[in-house]
Amino acid sequence: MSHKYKWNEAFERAFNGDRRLLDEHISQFYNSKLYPIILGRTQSRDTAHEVCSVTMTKFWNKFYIKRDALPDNVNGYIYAMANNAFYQVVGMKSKERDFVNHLKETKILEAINGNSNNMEESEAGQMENLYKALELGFAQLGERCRELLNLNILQKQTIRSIAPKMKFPTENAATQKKTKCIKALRKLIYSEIHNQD
Amino acid sequence: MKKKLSNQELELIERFFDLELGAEELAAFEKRMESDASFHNEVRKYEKAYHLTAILEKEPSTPNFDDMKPHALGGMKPWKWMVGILAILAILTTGYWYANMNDNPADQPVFAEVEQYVDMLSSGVVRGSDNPDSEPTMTPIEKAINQMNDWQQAGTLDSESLTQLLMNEQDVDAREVIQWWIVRTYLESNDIENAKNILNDIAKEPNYNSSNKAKEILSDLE
Repeated sequence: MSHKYKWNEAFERAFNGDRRLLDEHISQFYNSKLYPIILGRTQSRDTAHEVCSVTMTKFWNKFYIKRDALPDNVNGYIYAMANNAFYQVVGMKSKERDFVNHLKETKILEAINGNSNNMEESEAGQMENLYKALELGFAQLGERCRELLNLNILQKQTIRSIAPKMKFPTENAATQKKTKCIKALRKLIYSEIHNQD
Repeated sequence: MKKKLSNQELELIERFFDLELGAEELAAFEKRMESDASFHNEVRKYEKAYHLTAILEKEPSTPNFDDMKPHALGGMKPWKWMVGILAILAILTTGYWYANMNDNPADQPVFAEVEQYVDMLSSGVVRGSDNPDSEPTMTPIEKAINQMNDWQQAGTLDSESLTQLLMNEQDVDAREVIQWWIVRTYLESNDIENAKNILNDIAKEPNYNSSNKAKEILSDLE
């Protein structure tokens, strides 16, 4: 049985509500294929774990959340993704990523809601700049994107419940829209960060 | 003011953070990151925006890959590898020893039993006088056993010479002992089938006292 067939079947079942095969397949691939290869390159278990985690999260977003079509060589595609992730984690030695990861989702949401009291001073200073960029970027988004992100991120409503409210034809259409909105927001935030310099 | 990235460059960076660059594109990207400080700086800014929105984008259904601890061999600690390797070596050594033990007829219980029985049949036989002028007083069985002992000491004892000896021997007692020696020789060379053939002959011989013993050994060999 080809890799693609196995992945296809696993995703098909997951889309129909049964994620067991996909979870098992991902776990198996992660542990027996991806991780040993990356560990060979990094020679550090923590770094290998981080590279694999970045890779598989992105893989999940792309093929499960956004439902992009699977490539012919799924395993090869993941290895190529891991190559990119390897450079991000090892080559760039990113302070930005560490900083944002350190803040974690809850603190970012606190900042979005105007409550950064629990943050340390140094964190708060950096966070303030980031928040300003986020706020200005958000304000420049189109109305429909703002509504969608507001409901999903701030009000924590699921895409499934948002889709009929916002008259999307399907849940997947709402997911696709959210992806586009996030991408647009990202460019606007970048633009604001660039202007802060 | 520093130059902002073009839309094309933004797309390239976006694809990099989405882990979608091919090998050649990635190599070119890395090269530019090293050689172009301005580009490097802008990528860093975009990175902040990327990771911020990635957190916002995270869906509840996403498995927690941060907690996915490797359980396969690749995630094993070095000492566990060593223990594993030693365990495998121990298994292989034991297996090899066991296989050799079974291959070595001298270590087989059946062989030991036959050896003991042949020794018993051959015991009590006194070699004739070493004086060449003395009259030969040996019985056929004594002569046969002496001959076989000589071959054994010379290292020339084999089933072929024993079979030749058997064919030339008429004495029933001597034939019985020779046949047991043949059985032992076959078992020693792990030729079970031929050993069984001879044992069957012994078992069927009504004049032999060792017929029942041959049947017993045959049953052990089955």
